[in-house]
Formats: sequence, structure tokens, C-alpha cells
Amino acid sequence: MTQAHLDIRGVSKAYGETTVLDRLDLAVGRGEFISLLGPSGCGKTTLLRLVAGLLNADSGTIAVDGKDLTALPAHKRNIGVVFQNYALFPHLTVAENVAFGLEAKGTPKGEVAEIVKRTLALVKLAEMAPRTIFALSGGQQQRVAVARALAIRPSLLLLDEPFSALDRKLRESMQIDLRRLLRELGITAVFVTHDQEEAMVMSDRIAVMNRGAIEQLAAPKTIYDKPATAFALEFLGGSTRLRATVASVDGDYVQLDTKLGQITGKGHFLRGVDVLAGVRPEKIAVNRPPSPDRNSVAARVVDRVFLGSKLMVIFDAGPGGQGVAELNAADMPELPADGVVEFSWQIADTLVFPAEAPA
Amino acid sequence: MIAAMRRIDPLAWLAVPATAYLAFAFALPLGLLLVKSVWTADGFTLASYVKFFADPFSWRVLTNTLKIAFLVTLVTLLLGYPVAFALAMSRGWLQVMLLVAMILPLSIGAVVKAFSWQIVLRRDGVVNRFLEWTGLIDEPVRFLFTETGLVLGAANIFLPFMVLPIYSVVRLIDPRLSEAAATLGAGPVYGFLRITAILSLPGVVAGIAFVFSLSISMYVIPSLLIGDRYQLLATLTGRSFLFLRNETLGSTVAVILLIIAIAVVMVSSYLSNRLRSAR
Repeated sequence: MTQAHLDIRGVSKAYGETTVLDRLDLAVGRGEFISLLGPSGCGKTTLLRLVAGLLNADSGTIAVDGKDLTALPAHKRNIGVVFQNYALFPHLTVAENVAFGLEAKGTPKGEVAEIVKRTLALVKLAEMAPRTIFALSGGQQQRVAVARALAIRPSLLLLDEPFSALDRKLRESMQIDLRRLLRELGITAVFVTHDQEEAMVMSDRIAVMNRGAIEQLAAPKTIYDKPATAFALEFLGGSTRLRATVASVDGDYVQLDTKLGQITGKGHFLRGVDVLAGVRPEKIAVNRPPSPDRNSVAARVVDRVFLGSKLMVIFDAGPGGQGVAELNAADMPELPADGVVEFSWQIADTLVFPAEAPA
Repeated sequence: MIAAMRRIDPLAWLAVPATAYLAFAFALPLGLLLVKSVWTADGFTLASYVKFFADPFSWRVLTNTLKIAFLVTLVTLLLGYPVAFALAMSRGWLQVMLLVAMILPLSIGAVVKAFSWQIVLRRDGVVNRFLEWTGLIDEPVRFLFTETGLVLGAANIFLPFMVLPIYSVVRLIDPRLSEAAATLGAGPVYGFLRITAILSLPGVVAGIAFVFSLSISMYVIPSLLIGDRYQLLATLTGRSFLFLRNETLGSTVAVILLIIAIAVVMVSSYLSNRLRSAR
């Protein structure tokens, strides 16, 4: 990335005593689709509103195409926003909603009609143009909101949980449609969501946000395979997590004491330090013959969830931990009477993080 | 259908006492009034209406009434519209104080308020003292017993009836609509005129209907602020009954007043239906 299309540097925002964003940096490339993923209250929506110009940052700069927008009000930024509840104008028709931004800029009438027609066709709503927005379904309203934001040819598109009001089935097909549309148009987009699956479906890169900071910014697969923090491990994808203490250090490896017994992991930690050991569920096997490159623990099965080809096995991982193994449905043996089974995974798949202070 | 009626029935009974009371205390006397205006010793006749509309004095009373009501409505709208937004956008204590300031004066009778306006507007009243002090005028201006004084006094008393309906509509307008307008490139004025102002119209229509119907039928306020020599429909009605002892004239004027009031209500409900269905 030679020059970032959207460049956020050192942005902070506080409400009274509460710091919502703390000197945050984010660079988004041209045509890139970035998700801001995090729990509610992590500052993702605040960041979006700062970029849109609907809030003023306490410090830091926000630039698009190298042009500093920090001091500009929202209506001079030319950044499209799709709001969570769509915020469609209730007294205007579908076509009038889409035309609004063009008329506000004084675009000639004939040109407005042409662009509205073309933009509605993009979201497959051409025949809905004269309807009131109340005649539309939730999914159609969302597409009007997207069309309205795209009609002004924004330099950047911001989306604030645009799928949260839609039911699951519709959501999945619309996610794919919207991603394809924005890719075709080459629009740079920043997308706020608390739904990890949505973030994985939609994004080129995901910014995992927690407590006003970006914990990891990477492609979905990278975050899944190599989460940078315990929070990223926990928030994106399923995971088995064990609380542990470093028992001994051996070069690049550490021996960890857990409630389920001793395991080995990679990383540099001091002896006696509290850590969190994590494993992705599909890396875990059951009743595999022991091998020196595998960690193996005996744990009691709590529940089994059948998911078609897969089987999720929930096991007791001790206080503050969580045990999930994802097996092929055929691989689950009969449970013994006491429910205790041998779970194992490769040492290389063991992720070790400093223990987080409880939130 | 039958199931639906059974479900609604018990609720409908709840309205019976109030309906019966209104039929007895409102519809019946009104009906008698109407009868009195068209029924004389000679039987049914519209003579009193013909006589009323043939008299230039009546026309002056009618136009005075409409003119004063129009001006009062205009003043309350100009003053009240921004107040409704201040109420809707303020939070916490400020909002409570503004609401109290708007509603508390309603608990003071119109007589008391009209009398206080007399004190404020008279030759040695606060307004004249202030204008003399600023040097804008050399000698006291006559406010009391003028149309200006009446409009100012009535507008003050009816202001809450303009503010509250507008406030109740404005506070329900999603603030994100203005934000959406801004992100689409609309400056604050353009965005306000095309979005918020239009969405506030149902409240404006209701406020206008309230204040206009209160203004055409006010009696105590003009009696105290403009006096006998300037007659409005309501004061003429009172005068016909109380002083002239002309019940036919009184009921005729009252019915004309009622027709104007009904017209205002019908036009405003038509307009607000139109505004609602336009959404």
C-alpha cells in the first residue's frame, strides 16, 4: 500500500471521563473492504461516526486520499454512510431518497434522474422507484440506503451494522450481493459489525477492536490461524481456552500447568506468569495415540452438539476456561461411563497469550 | 367478525359514561342553541342569518375575529416553533424546566393573565417605561385597547397550545435523518428545510388548529385587553345574551362561530391525514 486511501492517525475520543477511542491508527487501502469487529462499547461505531464527520475527534487526524478532513463538517466530506436503521426519509419515495444527495449538491435535474435510475438498477430496485419506503421489505429498505449512499459517488462508504435488522437467511445472501457490488464498483468500504461471521464473509481485512483500540488488523484467515491477542482468539471463531501458569521455560517453548494437566506451548514467557492457552476446535482430536509433538489432556465431556457433518464436543476446561472440539461426526467414540475422554492437539497449534486482566 | 366484535365490546363500554355526559352537557345545549337561532314565534326561519349577513357591522365583527385569530396564530407559530425544537432537543434538567415553564402558565386562568397584561401594557406600564428609557419614544404609546395589545396578550396565553403539539411531533423525528442528510451533502439549512421542517408539519397543523379555534372563540381576553368598542364574534355572542337580551342574535352568532370552528377542525384533520398518507 503506497498511500492509504483512508488514513486515520492518533485519533482519540472521550465522553467525560470515559475514553472511547485511544490514539487509534488505521490505514485502509483503495478498494479495500475493512470490518471493524468488536463487542458493543468497543468504540467501533464512534470511529465510524468520526470518519463520517458526525462526531469531532478530541485529537488526531482523518485523511482521505491524502486530504485532511478532520476539520470538515459531515456535509463537505463526500463520505457515504449506510445507517443501522437505514435512516431513510419517510416522506420521500424510493427515487426521491436516492436523489436527495444529488439535489443537495445542485446536480442538474436530468442528470439526477439518470443517476437515480442507474443506481437503483445496481441494487435491483428499478421497479420500486415510485414507491414509498413503507411499501418495502427490510431487505429492500437496506438496498435503498445503499443506493442513496452510492448515488453521491462517495470517496468512501461507511456501513454501520447494515444487516442487523434482517433475518439470518436474507442476511447471508445480501452480504454476498453487497460484497460483489462494492468490489465491482471498486468502492473503499469500512463496515462496523459485532457479528464475526459477517466480518469474515464481507471483509478483505478485519480490525478486531476492544476497549477503544485495534487489537489486530489482518485478513480473516490470519486472525483465525494466528490471533494476536487472547481477545482476538476469543472473539473471532470458536476456541478451546485453558487458564495456565508457566511451570518451566525451555528455549522457545514453555511448559504450562493447567487444570487438566501439563501441556507445552510456543512462546516467551517468564516462569510463574499466568497465561491463557488456546486451540482452535478443529485442531483437536479424540483418543489419538500419544505422540511427543502433541499435547494430550483428559477431560469430561459436558455436551455434544450435532451439526450435520460436524460434531461439536463441549468439555470441562476448568474455571475461566472453555473446551470445544470440532470433530467429524463419525470420529466420536462411545462415551465411557465417567464421560472422560482423551483430547489431543499439536504443540504447534497451541496458542499462548498473556492472561488478560478481567474486563 | 363476531369474535372481533366481542373483543372490542367491553372497551367500547368504557366510553359510555363520557359519551352520555357530553350528549347531555354539550350536544343538547348546542342543539337548543341551533334551534333557537332558526325557530321564532313565526316558526322556522333563516331571517336572523339573513339579517346578520346584511349588516355591515356583522361583517366587521366577522373580519375582526378572523384577522385577530390569524395574527395570534401567526405570532404563536413564529415564537413557538423554535421553542418546540429547544424542548425536543434539550435533555435532563433543562428539558424539565422548559416543560414546566411551558405548562405551568396553563394552570393560571386567562382572567389573571389578561389582567397582568393590562398592567404591563398600560400608559405607565413596564413596556412604555422601557421604551421611554431607551429613548425610542418620547411619550407613552397606546397598547391597551388596541389590536396590537390584544394580539400580544392572546398570543402569550395561547403559546403553549402551539408549542406542545409541535414538540410532540418533533421529539419523535429520528435525529439520524438529519445526520443522513448531512452525510449526503446537505448543509444544515437545506437539510432542515427538506427533512425536519416537513416532518414537523403535522404538529404545526395541529398547533394552528388549536390556537386558531381558541382565538376565534376567546371572550375574557378581548374583554379585558380591547374592550367593548371592538367586537369579536364571541364577545358579540355574550353581549347579545347578557346585555341586549337578544337570544336569537346571540344564538345565530354562536352558530356561525361554531361553523367556523368546525371548518378549522375539518381542514386541519384533512391536512394532517394528507401529511400522514404522504409518508
